[in-house]
Amino acid sequence: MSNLLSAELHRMFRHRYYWIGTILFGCIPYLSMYLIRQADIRHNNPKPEPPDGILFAGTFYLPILIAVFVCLHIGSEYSDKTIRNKKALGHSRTMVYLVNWIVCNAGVFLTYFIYVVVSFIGGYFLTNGYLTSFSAMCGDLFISFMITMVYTTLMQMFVMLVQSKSAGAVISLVFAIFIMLAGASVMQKLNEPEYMTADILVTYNGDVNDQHQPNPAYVRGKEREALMVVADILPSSQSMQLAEGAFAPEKLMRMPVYSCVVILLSLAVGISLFRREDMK
Amino acid sequence: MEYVLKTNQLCKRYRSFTALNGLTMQVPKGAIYGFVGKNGAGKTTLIRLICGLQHPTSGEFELYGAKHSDKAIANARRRMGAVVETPAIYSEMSAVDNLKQQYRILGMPSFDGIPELLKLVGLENTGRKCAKNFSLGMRQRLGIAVALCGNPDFLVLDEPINGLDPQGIIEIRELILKLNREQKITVLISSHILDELSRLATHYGFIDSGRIVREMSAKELEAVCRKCVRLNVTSTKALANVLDGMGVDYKIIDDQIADIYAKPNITQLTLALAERGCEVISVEEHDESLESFYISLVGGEKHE
Repeated sequence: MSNLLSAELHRMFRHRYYWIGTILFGCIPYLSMYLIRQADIRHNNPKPEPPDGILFAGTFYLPILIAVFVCLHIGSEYSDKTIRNKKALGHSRTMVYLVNWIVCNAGVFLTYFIYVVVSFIGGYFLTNGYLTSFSAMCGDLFISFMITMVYTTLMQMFVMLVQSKSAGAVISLVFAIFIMLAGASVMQKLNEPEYMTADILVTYNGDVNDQHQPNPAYVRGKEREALMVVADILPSSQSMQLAEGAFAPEKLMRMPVYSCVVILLSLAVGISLFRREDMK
Repeated sequence: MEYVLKTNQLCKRYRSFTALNGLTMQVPKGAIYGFVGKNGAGKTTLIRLICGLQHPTSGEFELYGAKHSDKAIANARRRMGAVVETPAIYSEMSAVDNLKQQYRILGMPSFDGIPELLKLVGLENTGRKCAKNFSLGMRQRLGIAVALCGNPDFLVLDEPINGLDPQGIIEIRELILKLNREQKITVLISSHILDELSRLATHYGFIDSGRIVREMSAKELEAVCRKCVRLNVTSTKALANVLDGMGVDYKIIDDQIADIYAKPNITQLTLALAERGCEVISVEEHDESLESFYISLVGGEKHE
């Protein structure tokens, strides 16, 4: 396994498209903070916007990048047919699958780590620093890494089971967009205010009454509980919660556990189907 | 005889389609085994099974004595190199980088053997050129070089000359012969270009509809396909008498046609036949090629 792993890591790190993608993704937070800083200066804003929201916002856009990266790295194994060489040399399918999983995760981790480092440094240089404490940031960082792992595991499963670079790319990108929209939709429902703008009622005897009109879009009861679970499971809604920067401490434990379950299930399904699959 | 590969009643079904239907064959050590069959006969399917790309539906095969269901098959596969259909090479890498990658997958300690390997396949001057810019023949040779990494004892080549120009065909043929003669590598080569195969193979396996219809050595095939003179006469009975008297080997096809496995003096033969009241209608040299033998084996028109 170590031979295969070192060969695959070498192949990934020598690929120029990987480094171009990583550098471009790393530039996003710096550019975002620079633009916010310029807007603050232009509007003479005495209280510059804290960059906390940008620090982990990358995880929301990451599925697109992961889909492209996984398709390029694993998909090319199918388009070039080089995956046959590994099988013909006696490497088991489980080993091939796991090595690809490790390599893809290593690549995505490094890309995301560079994003976080750039955000972190940019946040201190371009703005007045972060409101979130360092310990909370470490917790958030852990959750965000779990999110990237979920995305990578799912994308890898699609590409390896489809056995086609182009079909794998289409499925992964559609999935990435779908999961981003699903996460945004869930979070939008959950973020609906419970009451609409207050109506102010002045009575004959001069009393003033605030009457809050209930918001019909606000999800209540069991449906809300179910939506909250979905929001904690979906990596895209986890990303949004991270970017919002305000979630209960118990979620710090719950979300990585959900991520772990998704990763293990996807790995189990992926490996068992890949073992049975006829390779062309 | 020692065998590198043995298959026993191997079957492979894809839903309702049966690609291999109880295929039994044996590849002797040191042979160039020509695996002959038309498109869709099951050649590539067998190679995919041997390489572990697919699993047999039933039956079994042994590679260097290791059964396909045993864990030892992984080690046996390390002694094998394969080019299945198209060469499996990284198109974005150069020839050297492709071989280095294969060396890393194999866990070989150094890249010392790469220049020699590139020279062997005639790609020593390709420099940093990416494999995607190679000609088909160069890609095919690079695929063979990748398969040769790790010094395999058994090389499996699936249609290696498909799409190659005459020069490319000659190069691949010479390379295969060189590998077999100098490095004693056993080669299983599948093809439907029979003429080319007949210049290489020491053994043949003829496959049709997923089963081996005949296995034979090149010598046996030569005996079957030997040259003859086909005579069309008014009476093969008279011809048989004359030929018996001349001590010549022959075969009566029907009342008027016979094959003579020698080069008789036509004047003497004609005169001898005339004495018996038999006329010679036509004489033509006839040799059964591998192609016609194959067609007769798998039943010509039915399979066209």
